[in-house]
Amino acid sequence: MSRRALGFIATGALGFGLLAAGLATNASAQDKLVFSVGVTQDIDSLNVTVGYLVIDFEIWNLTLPSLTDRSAEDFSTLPSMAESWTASDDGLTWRYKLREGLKWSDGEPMTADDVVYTITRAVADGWINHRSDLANITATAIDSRTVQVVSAVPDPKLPYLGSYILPKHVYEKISTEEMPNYLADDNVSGGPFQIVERKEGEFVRLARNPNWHGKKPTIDEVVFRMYETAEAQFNALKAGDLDAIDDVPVKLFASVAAGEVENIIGLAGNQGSFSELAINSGCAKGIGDGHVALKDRKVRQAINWAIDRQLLVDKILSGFGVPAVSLIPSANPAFDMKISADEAYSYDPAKANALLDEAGWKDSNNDGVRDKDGVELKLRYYDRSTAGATATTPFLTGWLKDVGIATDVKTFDEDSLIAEQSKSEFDLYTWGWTPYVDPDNMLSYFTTSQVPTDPDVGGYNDANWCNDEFDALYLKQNSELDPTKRAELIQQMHEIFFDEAPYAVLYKYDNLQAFRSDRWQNFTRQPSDVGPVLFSQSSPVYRDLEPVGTRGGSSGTNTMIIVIVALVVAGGVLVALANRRKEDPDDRQ
Amino acid sequence: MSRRYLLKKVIGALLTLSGVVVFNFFLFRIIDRDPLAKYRGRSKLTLEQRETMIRRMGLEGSKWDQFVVYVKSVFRLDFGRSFDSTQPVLGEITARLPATLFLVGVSTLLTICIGLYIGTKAGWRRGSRFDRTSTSAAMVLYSTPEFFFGMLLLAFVAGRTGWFPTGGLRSVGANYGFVGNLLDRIHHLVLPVLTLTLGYLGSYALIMRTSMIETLGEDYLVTARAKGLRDSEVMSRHAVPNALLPSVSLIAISCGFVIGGAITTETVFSYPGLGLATANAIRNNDLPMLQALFLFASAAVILFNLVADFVYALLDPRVRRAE
Repeated sequence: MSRRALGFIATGALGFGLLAAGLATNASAQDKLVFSVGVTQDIDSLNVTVGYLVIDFEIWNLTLPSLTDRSAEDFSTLPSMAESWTASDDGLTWRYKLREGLKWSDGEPMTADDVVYTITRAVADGWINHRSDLANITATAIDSRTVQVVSAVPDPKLPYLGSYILPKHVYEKISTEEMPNYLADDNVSGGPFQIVERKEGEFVRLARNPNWHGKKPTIDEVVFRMYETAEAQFNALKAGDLDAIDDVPVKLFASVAAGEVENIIGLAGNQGSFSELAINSGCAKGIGDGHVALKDRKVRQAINWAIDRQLLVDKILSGFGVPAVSLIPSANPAFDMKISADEAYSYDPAKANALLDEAGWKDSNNDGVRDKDGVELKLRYYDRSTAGATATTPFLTGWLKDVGIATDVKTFDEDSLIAEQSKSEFDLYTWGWTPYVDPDNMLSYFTTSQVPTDPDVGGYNDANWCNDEFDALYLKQNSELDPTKRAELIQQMHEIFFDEAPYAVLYKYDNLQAFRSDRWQNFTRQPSDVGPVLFSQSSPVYRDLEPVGTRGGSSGTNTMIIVIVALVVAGGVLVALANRRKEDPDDRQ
Repeated sequence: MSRRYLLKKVIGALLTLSGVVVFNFFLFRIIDRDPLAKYRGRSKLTLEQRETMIRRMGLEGSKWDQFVVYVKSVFRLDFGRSFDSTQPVLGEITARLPATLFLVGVSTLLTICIGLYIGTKAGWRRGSRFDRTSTSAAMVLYSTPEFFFGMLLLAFVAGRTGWFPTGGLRSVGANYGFVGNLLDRIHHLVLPVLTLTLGYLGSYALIMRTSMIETLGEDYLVTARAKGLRDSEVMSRHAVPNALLPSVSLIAISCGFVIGGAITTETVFSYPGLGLATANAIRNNDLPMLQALFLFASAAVILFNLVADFVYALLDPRVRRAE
């Protein structure tokens, strides 16, 4: 190719680039307030009858209405679709009065019909995210603005009714058979935002819903962008591609918390998430083969005394959490067990050894492992393959070894681990929970009815632990309408759980999130002061966020400048090549 | 090229492909992982819903029954629905295909051009300073996994300077017009392409260099020189075409892998192509997705190998005469 031709191409490319860049800069000069959130988990489904991931719930919180809302301060019940409600004397029947003039984002009226339709169909079709809240509930429309809800049993959760309400005019067209495959791409919203664009595996973009009845959010758009690794996401926050991220790795978060990263703040939010070592207490009927030693409460207590929880909090969580000794039934810390520090399980190997001796497990053959009647105290330890769990395991197995308990560790991904748990063929296993706001669900997991009896069906009682007294108290708190009395009943349940020790609860850990503090303020936490900002129970932050100064948000980066530079460089290289060819005597004739 | 040679190669490719189809079925069923684990236990689905699910996934009946269902559906190009997104697998794959073709296609082209150029020059001037530096560099590139380059570029170029995006396919919610959107896509492509190019450059350079050096000793080069041809002509007309032959298979295999995507690079840059789809399908135990992705990837490699055989025969008379 001649030098002239090359030069021509280079100049052409340059001109083209500049032109395009000029056009582009014009087109992108929009003054939208966009809040970009990085997520490392892709949406599995926006269909509320199918999805179950945290990210799905965050988007539903922004797009689907509910009768009532929760306050950001302490989860107390707030009006939402319903502006007021009244109860019958027996507390079983509730009447909700809807606000006037409610509309879906497509302009259709939002009425009592939508509420009744959703509740009735959710119960009939057994929708996974509705069925536990609505199990005992029937709804009827009194008029277009009044819904009557009847609960078959006294329900302390009412009047709170947070189940997502769906637009009847959209969903009535979808048959029960088709429902699992429905993409929920109708984008009809009844929440503060509506989905305007989604690229699977890339991002979801939401804009303000003009028909939202509540406080108008300051931000124009929320974007959730998928990142595959936590490190990439953190880099994106630093580079300004994102405004907020969740799931910050502990070491990176520590540097943010220490103020080492400019313009970024870290907020460690707690909503009751905890990790535990579940102990197979051997109550599964007809299935399972847990170690005989673990049926003895003393052995289970010994395991609890053998663990140094504070060390785990320091080493595994870098201090972003607190030691815990009983299950955490609620996102609201008011329901945590009340226990004094000197009574709670602490690191006391001597006590653990004494309890094991008392239970009759002694090292009779001097092999370093306790035994009884010819059975060695060697436990199958099933670990889950998440980073936090695998890091904890060497500590736990080491402490158990110190008190003469041998372990055989096997690691599973989460799905496979649940399948193993459903068979009840394990001795110890690592897991964690994030509770709901109402303690009922979490407490129900440890009732006898939740012990797995069929591996295909499974059950939530993953410690295979049964206790009649606990069961009775569970039923009582479940229908106790007086909050103070209910709290007392729950404290009694805590005491039984603590003493029986089907779990070695390790710690309550924080959700580590980071934000661009140079761009945004008003990071509403739920519950106030301690809770998380992103992925909280009802996602109030998106309605409260304010930009710092006149304009916040992740603007488009200087994309076009870079492209111009790249083109100039490419052009330069071409010109240089052309010139070099000229100078090479070997090539020129 | 004889018809017999052609036929033999095509039949060979078809046999390999059917072998892959069969192997593919068993590969994902011998792994000790329950494809339904996600739906088992903890009452996630009602028994009824779970049975529908099993039927829909073709997991009903004996292994043989499942196999028959599987083979039939492969011929209909019906790979069922992804466990994850509940959408048809074929649609999921075709939606991601362009992104991967764009990324891996561009980088393969760059890798081939630059790699062959470096290899040719290094081999031709064996022992020169260019040869010594380029060969050591090629060795370093060859022996470093590409995702490592990706992580470095991500942390130091994207994260520190902000010159390039940290991931994704395009800017969100921006419309720059056709040309602007294209430039935006290119902007997002720079670092992943650079990563892949760096990662695969070394092998081309090294192979080309070796075969150049082998060619240097051939008699026909001496003849060409004796005829009085200029050095550059000897190289471009006589040495390079012969030395290129070993690279043909490498190029063909690389083209095959274009479909398979670049699992690690796409993961590092959150680039939603087929490689990332594969990584996610593995993570989520998404059997139908995995099955289809593996089938497509292996079919692509087989196809391009077939093409390589033909091209080889066209380029090298020795191959077709040997038949």
